[in-house]
Amino acid sequence: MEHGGPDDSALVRAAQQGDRDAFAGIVRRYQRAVYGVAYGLTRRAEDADDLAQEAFVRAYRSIGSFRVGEPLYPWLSRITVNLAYSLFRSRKRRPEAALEPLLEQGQQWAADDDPVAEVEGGERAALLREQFATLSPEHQAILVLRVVEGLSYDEIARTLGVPPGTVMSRLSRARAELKAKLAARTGEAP
Amino acid sequence: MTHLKPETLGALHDGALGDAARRDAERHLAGCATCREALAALAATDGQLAAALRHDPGEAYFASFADRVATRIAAGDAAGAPAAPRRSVWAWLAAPRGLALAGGVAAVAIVSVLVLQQGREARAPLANATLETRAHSMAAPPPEATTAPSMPPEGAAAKPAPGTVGRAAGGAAAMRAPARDEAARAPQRDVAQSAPAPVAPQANATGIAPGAREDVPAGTGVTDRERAESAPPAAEPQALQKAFTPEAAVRALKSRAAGRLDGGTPPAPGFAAAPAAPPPPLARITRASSTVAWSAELAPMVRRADSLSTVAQREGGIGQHMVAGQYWVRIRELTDPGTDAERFTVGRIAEERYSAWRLRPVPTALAPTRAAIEDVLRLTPDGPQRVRWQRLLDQVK
Repeated sequence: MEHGGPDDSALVRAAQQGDRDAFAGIVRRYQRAVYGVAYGLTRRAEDADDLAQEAFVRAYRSIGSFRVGEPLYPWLSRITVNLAYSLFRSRKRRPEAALEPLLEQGQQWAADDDPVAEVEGGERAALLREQFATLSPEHQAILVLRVVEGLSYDEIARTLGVPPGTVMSRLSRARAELKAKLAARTGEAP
Repeated sequence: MTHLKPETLGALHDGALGDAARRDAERHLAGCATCREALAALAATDGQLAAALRHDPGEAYFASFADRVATRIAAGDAAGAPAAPRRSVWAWLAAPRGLALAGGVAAVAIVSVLVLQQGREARAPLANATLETRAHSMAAPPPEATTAPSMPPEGAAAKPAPGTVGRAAGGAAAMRAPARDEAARAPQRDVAQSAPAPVAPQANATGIAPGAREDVPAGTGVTDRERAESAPPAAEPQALQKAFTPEAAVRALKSRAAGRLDGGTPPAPGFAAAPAAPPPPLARITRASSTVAWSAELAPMVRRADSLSTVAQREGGIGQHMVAGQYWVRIRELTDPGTDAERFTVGRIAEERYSAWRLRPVPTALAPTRAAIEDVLRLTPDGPQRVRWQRLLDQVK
């Protein structure tokens, strides 16, 4: 999924001139994507809310140094990921509490109304979240950017500040690690 | 046969291989069941992971998001954080907004002179002693103002004064003022203490943090036009008056007196069967959260849960009910067992679950909803309150 649009440059230019309405336009354009990254990395609505807002505040403070014409979304994602890293460092995450059952099941309501499928889907999702949380922050970040947000390898490279080749290998290692952890929990062959 | 490397499989799945490499990989896949299965498994896990890590807080959340960011920026500006882009004062003054503010400042200056002159002429105490006392108390500056008359102290905005919780300015007041040292400003664990309510249409009422911010140009953040565009129709301030708090009741009365009541029929007592959509908000069984003494750690989470719940009631949002329920579950984890706070929290969990179930009564929601209500019944002595909960439980089948 490619983000951005032809109007980004105009909005950035206006925001750099102090136009807060233009910056609000940037916020509205990217709020869902930034929230998606924040939620994927924190898996708590309240953390994601704080992280996403703070990412835009940081972006606002730094917009003057942003190079017009560069894609905006990788830059915003990078700010969000860096904030998440800081969050990880600043606290030792306690193991994720069991998901609130109703919320978990509620996420399935929209998918289908087959109770068996709902329960199985919920269990799988819980297992995935649990094992995902044990990955390194770098592996979590690259999986969120690619798998959840659908960024291209180039966008991920910009976001993480690594060469595109590193994206491919890191993503592969992250997937392999998650697969092995899931297999260890379910007893399946990795 | 040499199988495709995991990297190659992943890149193929991601559409990141070059043309030649992709053709080679596809040719290999055509004759290799093992690699086809590996690719299918990778795709399945990716899909499940994406679903497990996605979360949609709802339209209402995003409708007010830009406002909340603007408020946080304004709070940071007031706290002395470096301002973003600068332009010349003249260029800014030349803009319509600058002219408007300049005019406003001039008007304020003129009015101030007039008021001061009148004040000198009318210093006699009020005849009514009660009114006099009230006038003094209203005139007294808040504690923050006594210590920093011209600039709110850093973080002041993050600590609303007692009793302001959930009011129109609450969302803005709950904003955390960014620290001066940006590098040291990792998001805090207790984000709920600093972050605004996730759905804060009340911020639309003012747009800018109250009191703020003489050093921030007028029109900070989002324009009125954009507010009008981004705010859902139901996000009018008076709609928020359905919050079941004493403060809300007072606001509702004032609103009624001003002829602004939205005309909505108050929810009938009891819990009748769910009518056709959209169902009216449920009457609360639990009392207002302001009647409970919350710790400083829990108070922001309570505010957040209340805010979500209010929006959920107004808009019939299942998701908000569930997230509010999740908040109450976490609050209960942090609440001492056997306390009034815990009993209250158990009630709120049950209410949010029941509300979500009522909006969409799927079978899988039955068990957790019943369990939550049974939790309440275990803690509720005989009496009218218990009868109400029992009536709810009877419906959940």
